[in-house]
Amino acid sequence: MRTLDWLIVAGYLVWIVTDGLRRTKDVDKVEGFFLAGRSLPWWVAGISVMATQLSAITLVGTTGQAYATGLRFIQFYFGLPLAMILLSLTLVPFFHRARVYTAYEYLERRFDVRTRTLTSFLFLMSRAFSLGVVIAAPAVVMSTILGWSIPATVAVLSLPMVFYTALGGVQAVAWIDVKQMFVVVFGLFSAVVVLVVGLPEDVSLYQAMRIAGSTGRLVALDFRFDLSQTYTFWSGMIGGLFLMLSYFGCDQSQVQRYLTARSADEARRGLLMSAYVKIPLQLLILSTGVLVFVYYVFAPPPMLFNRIHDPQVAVSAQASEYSALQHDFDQAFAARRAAATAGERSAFLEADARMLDIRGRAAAIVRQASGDARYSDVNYVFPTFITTRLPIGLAGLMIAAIFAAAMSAASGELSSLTSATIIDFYKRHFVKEATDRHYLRVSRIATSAWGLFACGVAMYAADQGSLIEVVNRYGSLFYGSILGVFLLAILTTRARAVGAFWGLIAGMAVVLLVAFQTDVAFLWHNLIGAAVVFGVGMAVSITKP
Amino acid sequence: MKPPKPEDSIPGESSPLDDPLNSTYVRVIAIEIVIIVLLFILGRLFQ
Repeated sequence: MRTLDWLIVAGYLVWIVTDGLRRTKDVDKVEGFFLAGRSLPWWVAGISVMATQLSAITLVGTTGQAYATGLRFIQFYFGLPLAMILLSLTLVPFFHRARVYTAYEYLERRFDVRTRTLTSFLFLMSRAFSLGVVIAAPAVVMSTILGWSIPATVAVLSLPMVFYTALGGVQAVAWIDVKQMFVVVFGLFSAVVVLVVGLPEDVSLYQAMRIAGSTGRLVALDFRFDLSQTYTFWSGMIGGLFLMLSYFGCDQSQVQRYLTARSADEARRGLLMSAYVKIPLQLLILSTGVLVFVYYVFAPPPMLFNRIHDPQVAVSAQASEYSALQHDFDQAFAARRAAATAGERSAFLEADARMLDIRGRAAAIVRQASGDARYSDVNYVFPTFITTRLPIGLAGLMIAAIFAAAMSAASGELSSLTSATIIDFYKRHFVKEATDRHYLRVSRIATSAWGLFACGVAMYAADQGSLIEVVNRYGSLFYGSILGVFLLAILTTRARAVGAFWGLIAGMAVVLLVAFQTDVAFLWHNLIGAAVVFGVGMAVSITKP
Repeated sequence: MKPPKPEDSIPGESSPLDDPLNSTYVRVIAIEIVIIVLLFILGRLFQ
């Protein structure tokens, strides 16, 4: 990272804060703050939907995953297009017709205030911690890569975002999302061009794909029906369908995006944009990771990309063993490069397996020397490539893109936390009648408070590797059950409030049991939660007087 | 409150049976099938 790169990152931050300030002029009513006055064109709502889902950890984690294992993570998104179609036909017109501010408001009209409050509370519980993780995960990576402290990185990632979200509301969030998506996509395409152009002169793109393919990295599909496997065609298609239905249909962070559209049809068009673009966009991100792998077939990669524990390893009892591994790694790399250049497949695969083995042993030494049992370097592959290999200017652009991805995901979640807090709790239970000016002031205070809370969670989570995993698992427990309540609301007239409430409780209990007592992969939890809530909800509605 | 029915649709908004986006839905599904087939071929071709 050189001066020009830093100027680009600083320019990006100034640009979005200035734009956020400009948007505050249009916000003087609650509907403007939470729903941009229901005035946004479909493409802005659609890009905002995608930007909220694309977090920084998707950008750096997915490229790292593709570097290590290839394209198979794409299966996670196979249920998304069908989910978008089903939502366009059902929930999106319902929400627009009901003129609601939050998804949970509809549940009170259909059932009762108890079901609305419980569902909104579950949303707040899962999203508040998830927001902390959305900030913490990239903060940990970027602080190591850029040499900043965790508090400084969290502050740079979150304070501008809290600032423009608190002042401009959804209006600012959505329009800034558009700019941030542009930065992310432009950065990714630029990185792909650099990676392809950066191949040695005698290696064509076809040969590069042969190299990636020989290691299995271009095998995207796994048709095994195995419930314990996280990413298969079936878990993505069925479990992923229920996850996406729940996330895009019942999660306020997404519902709020498309409620900003001018009409139900524009909201549906915005949502369908994801159905078209999401899988190709994820393929672009995954392909970038695969190309980074091919790039490092010809350029020497570090033995481990995450160097945070280097000082501890250097003074540990295993320091000499680690140095010997580095020597072996360099030799294996030279052998792999020679085999790749000569087109010797078996020699290439043998050297590649040797490098993988050495990396595994080196990581084990780091874990032992540092006491960090969860040490991994997957999320560090792409940022390391950016800061050490990309040409001047482009490195700054890609770091800005990672910041943009973090901010766009976090701002969408932050504004949804505020809308659920104010609409489902403050306005519903505490101050029912007040001026727009009052609600706007309280909303801005709530946004700042949730932002600071998320920063606190982020700083705590950054030091607790295990907590990040716990919070992710914890967040995934709610989706299916919340979807089940909405299915009860829209699919049948026989479901009643008492059934919805107890169905929700039963669904949560069963998902908790499955999550902690079995090895069923988490994507299936969504299907299980929705099915239990719907089944119990119907049974209670019919049998209870 | 009972769930809204298709015939409850507001003026200017389409019902599911007469949905201007029906062709879009077909295109979305067709594109996904094409992507999956291409991914399958890609995996086989470069294995």
